[in-house]
Amino acid sequence: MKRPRLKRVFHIDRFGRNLEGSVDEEVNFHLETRIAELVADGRSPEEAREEALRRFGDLETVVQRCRRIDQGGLRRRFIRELFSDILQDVRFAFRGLRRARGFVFVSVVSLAVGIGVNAAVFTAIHAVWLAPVPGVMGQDRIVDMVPVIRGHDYWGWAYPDFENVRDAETPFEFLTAWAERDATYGSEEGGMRARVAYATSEYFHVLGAAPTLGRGFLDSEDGGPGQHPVAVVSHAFWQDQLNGRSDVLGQSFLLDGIPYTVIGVASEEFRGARVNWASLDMWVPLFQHPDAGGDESVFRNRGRISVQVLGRLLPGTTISEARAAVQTVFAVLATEYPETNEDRTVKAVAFGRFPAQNRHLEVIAVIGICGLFAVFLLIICGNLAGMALARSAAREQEIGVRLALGSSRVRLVRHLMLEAGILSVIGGGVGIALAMIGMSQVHPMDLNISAPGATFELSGWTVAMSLGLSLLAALAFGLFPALRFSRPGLVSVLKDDTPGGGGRRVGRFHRYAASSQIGVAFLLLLMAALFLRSLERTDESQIGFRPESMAVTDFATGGTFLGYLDLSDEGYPSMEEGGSALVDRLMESIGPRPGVASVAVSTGFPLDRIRTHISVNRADQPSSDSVGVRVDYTLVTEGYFSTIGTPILQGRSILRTDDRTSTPVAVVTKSFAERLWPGEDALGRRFSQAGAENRAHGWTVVGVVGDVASSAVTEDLPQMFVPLRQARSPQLIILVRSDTGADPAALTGPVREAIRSVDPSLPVPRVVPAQSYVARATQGQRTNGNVTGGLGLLILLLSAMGVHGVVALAVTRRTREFGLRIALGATRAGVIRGVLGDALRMAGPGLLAGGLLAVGTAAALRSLLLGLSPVDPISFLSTGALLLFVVFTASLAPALRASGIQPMEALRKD
Amino acid sequence: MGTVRAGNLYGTLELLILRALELFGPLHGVGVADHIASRSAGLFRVEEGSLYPALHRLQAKGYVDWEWRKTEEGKRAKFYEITRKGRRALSSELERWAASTRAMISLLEVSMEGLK
Repeated sequence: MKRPRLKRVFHIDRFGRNLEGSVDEEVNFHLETRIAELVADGRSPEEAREEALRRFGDLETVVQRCRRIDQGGLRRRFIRELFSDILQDVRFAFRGLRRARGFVFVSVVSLAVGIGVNAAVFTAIHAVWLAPVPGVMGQDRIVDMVPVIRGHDYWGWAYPDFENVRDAETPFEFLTAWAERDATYGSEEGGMRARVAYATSEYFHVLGAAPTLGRGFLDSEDGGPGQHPVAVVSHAFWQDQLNGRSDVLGQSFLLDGIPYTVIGVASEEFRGARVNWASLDMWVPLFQHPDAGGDESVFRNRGRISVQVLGRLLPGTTISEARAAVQTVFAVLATEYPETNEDRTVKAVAFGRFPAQNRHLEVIAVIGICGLFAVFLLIICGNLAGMALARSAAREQEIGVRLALGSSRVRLVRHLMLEAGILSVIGGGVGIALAMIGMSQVHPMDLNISAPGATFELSGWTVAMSLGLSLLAALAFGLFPALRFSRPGLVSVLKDDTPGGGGRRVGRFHRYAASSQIGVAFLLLLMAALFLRSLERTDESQIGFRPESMAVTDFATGGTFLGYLDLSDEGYPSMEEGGSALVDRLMESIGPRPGVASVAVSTGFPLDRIRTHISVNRADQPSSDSVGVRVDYTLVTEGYFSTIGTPILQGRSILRTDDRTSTPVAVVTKSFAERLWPGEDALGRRFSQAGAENRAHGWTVVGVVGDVASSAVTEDLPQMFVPLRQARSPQLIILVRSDTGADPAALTGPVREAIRSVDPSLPVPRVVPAQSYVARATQGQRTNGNVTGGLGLLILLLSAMGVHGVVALAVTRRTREFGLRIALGATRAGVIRGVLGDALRMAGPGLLAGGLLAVGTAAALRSLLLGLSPVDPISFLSTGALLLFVVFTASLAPALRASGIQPMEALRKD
Repeated sequence: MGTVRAGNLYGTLELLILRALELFGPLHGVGVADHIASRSAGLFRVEEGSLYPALHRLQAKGYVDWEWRKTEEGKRAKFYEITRKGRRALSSELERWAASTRAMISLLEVSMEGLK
C-alpha cells in the first residue's frame, strides 16, 4: 500500500526544507561525538578536534557530495511518484470504464462519428485548397496576379500590360505570362487533341519546375511569332505519346501541322500552374500561339484579355511590395491608355490551389464548412458531457468519499479528465481510421467538389488536426463534469440520500444536449430524404429527354468532360469555310448506317455539364429595362429534338434550310416562352441578346419544345436552340439515336467508320451512351443523400441512447416521487404517459430547431434539390414520424420501469 | 539499479552499511562507523567521512529510511533504518558476494595445489 498522500507530501516538504541544514547537522553530530569520545580518553579539546577531523577526511567534499545526492534523489523520487500517480490514475480510469461498457460504447461511437466526419472534411479541405500545387517548388514566393477591371476579378491580363510590368522596376525575380488552348497533336493517322500552354521564357523559373530532362525556354525564344517551334512535354505525354524514349530530346512531332522539337520533359508531378481538369500535355513559347502573328496579334491588343500572369518574388521582398509596384505601373497605364486601361488594376495574392479570383468567397466557404462540422462535433460532445454528468451523478457518493478522505481536487479532475481523454483518443483513432477508409473510396467529383487533380489522401496535417480535435473534444466533454464534481461543496452529497441525486442542473444540461442531438439527427435525415426524393425527379418525365438508346461522341483523349470536335483545328475554320459542308457530309454518312435511327450535330446536349449561358430580352422591350433572362443556349442541326427525344409542342423544329442565308430563328422551351411572353403565343415573336445594341441581331421563335434539362440537373434554366448553320461555332459533338431497344454503344463502329469515310484526318471519337452522363449528372445527389443519410442514422442512434439516458436518469431520481404517486392512487398508465410526455417535451425544441434549420439549408441548397420544395411534406412527415418513434421507443423501457415501481420499496429506500 | 558491486570500495561500503543496519539498526552515522570498525577489526580503513555519501546514496535509492531522533545522551541525531527494499537488495547481494567468494576461494585453492 502506498502511504497516504498527505504524509508523503509532508515528508517531501520536510525533506526539502531541511535539506541544507540536515547534512551539516548530521556531520556536526558525528564530529562532536568523536571529540567527546577523544576528550574522555584524555586528549585536550584541540587535539581531539584535530584528530576527529583527520579521521573524518575532507569535510567540505563530504558535505557537498551528500547534498548533491540528496537533491538528485529528491528529483528522481518526485518524478517517479508523479508517474506512478498518473499510471495509477490511468489504470483506475480503465477499470472504471470497463465497468461502464454502455457508456464507453456510446462515447467511442459518438466521438468516432464526430471526429471521423471532421477528419473527412479536413481531408477534403486539404486536398481542395491547402495541398501544395504538385511539382511546384517554393510556392510561398509565388504571387498570383488577378486583374481587376471595373471592380470585377478577371481571369487574365492583356499581354501588353504584362510587358509593361515586366519591364518596370518590381520586386519580382521572374515574371511569366501564358495562355492555354487545345491544339492538334498529329501523326497522319488522324490527330489527337493536346492541351498546350503557350508561355514566356521565365515560366519554369517562376514555378520552380525545371524540366527533369532537357531544358526550359530561353530568353531568345520569347517573341518572333512562329519562329521557335520547341516544346517541353509533360511526363505523361512523354510516356504515353512519345513512348518514354530516353533519346526524346531533339525529336520532333507535329502540332497544328507544324513540326516541333522536344527540348525538355517536365517532372512527373508537374501539371502546370493551375490545377485543372485538363492537365497540360506540353509547353511551347508564347509566340507560337496561332493568334500571335501579324498586326492582328492578340498579344498586341491592349483591349483583349489573353494571358495569365504569375511572378516569383526576389528574396527578402514581400507580396505587398509587389502589389504596390504593379499597381503603380497600372496607374501609369491608365493615364496613358485611358480607352482600354481606365479602371483597370491588379490584385496580388499568394499562389496556391485557391483560385485567385474571388478568393475571399472561397476562404469564407472553408471557414463556414469547418465551423459547421465543428458545431456538429460540439453537439456530440455536449451529449457525451451530459452522459458523463449523469454517470458522475451516480458516483457522487464515491467522489464525495474520496474528497473527504483527502483526495486532492487536482487528482480528481485529472482522474475524470483521463477517462474523457482515453475515450477521445480511442474514438478519435477509430474516427480517423474510418475517415481514411471512407475517403479513399471517394473522389472529389463524387462530392460535387470542383478540385481538379485533387485526391483524398490522409495527410499528416489532417491527422494532426483530427487528433487535436479529439483532445479538444476530451476537454469539452470531460472538463465540465470533472470540475463540477470535484467542487469541495459537494461533500454535502454524503448527507444526500437520493440515489443519483445530481441536482437539477445536471438533468437540465443533459436534456439540452440530448435535445440538440435529436435536432441534428432530424436535420440530417431530413436533408437525406430531400436529396433522395429529388433523385426521383431525374427520371424521364422530369429531365425531358430520353437518354436510353442515345449516344454522343467524345473526342477527348480522356478526362471528365466531353471533348468536342474542333473544326477550326481540322482545317475548317468556320461554318462558312467548309464547316457547314462537313456537317452535312457527316450527317449524310452517319444517318443511313445500320442501327442509326436518327443523327444530329450540336454544341451540347442535356446534362452534358458544360454551361453555355446568355441573357436575352424580348425584342420589343428596351434592353435598359431589365438585365435580361438568363438562358441556356445550344446550337443544333435538324434532327436534334427527335434524337434526344424531346417533343415539339408548337411550330416546327430546326431545319436544314435554316442557314446563313435565311432569317435567324430559334426554337425555345416551354418555360422560355412562358418567361418571356407569359400567357401569350410565343411563335413568331422576336428576342435578342441582352445588351446587344443592334436589334437586327435577334431571333424569331419558330417552335416551342417541351422543357428539357439543361447542362446540369441542379439548374433549371429556360433554353433556346439556334441553327448550327447560322452560327460560327466550330466546336461540335455528334448525337445519334439507335433503333429502339438496341444498345447505343453498338453504334461506335458505324459512327467511327462514317467519320473516317468523310475525312480520314478527323480524330476518332469514343461513342458514349447518354445514359452514363445522366448517371454522372445525378451522382452528386446520390452521394449527398447517402452521406447525410448515413450520418443522420448514426446520430439518430446516438440520440436514442442519449434520450434513453436522460429519461432513465430522471426515472431513477424520481423513484420515490413515483412510488408516492402510485401509493396515492396514480395509475400505471398515467405514470407511463407522464414519463413519455416528458421525453417528448425534451425532444420538442430540438425537433423544431432541426426542422427550421433543415428548411433553411434546403432553401439555400435549392438548386441541388432539382426543384423539390424545401418543405416537401413527404420528407418532413416521414422523417418527423421516424424521430418521434425513436424518442418514444428509447423512453419506453424507463417509463415501464417507472410504472412498475413498488410504492413501499421506493419509499423505504434510502 | 544500485547494486553493490564486489571490488568497488563504495559498493563494498554500502554493503557493509546495509548489513550493519540490518543487524543493529536503527543507527546514526557514528554508530554505523563504530559497528563497521569493530566488526572488520580494522581491516577496512576508511575515512569516516566517506560513510555519509554512501548513506545518502542508499537513502536516495530507497534502501534506507531515516528520522531525526534523540540519542541516549539527549542529542538530536539522524538515525538510519534499512527498508524492506534495502533488505531485499542486501540479501541478493550477499548471495552473490558469497557465491563469488566461494568461487574465488576454490579457484585459489586449486591453483595453489597446482603449484605444489
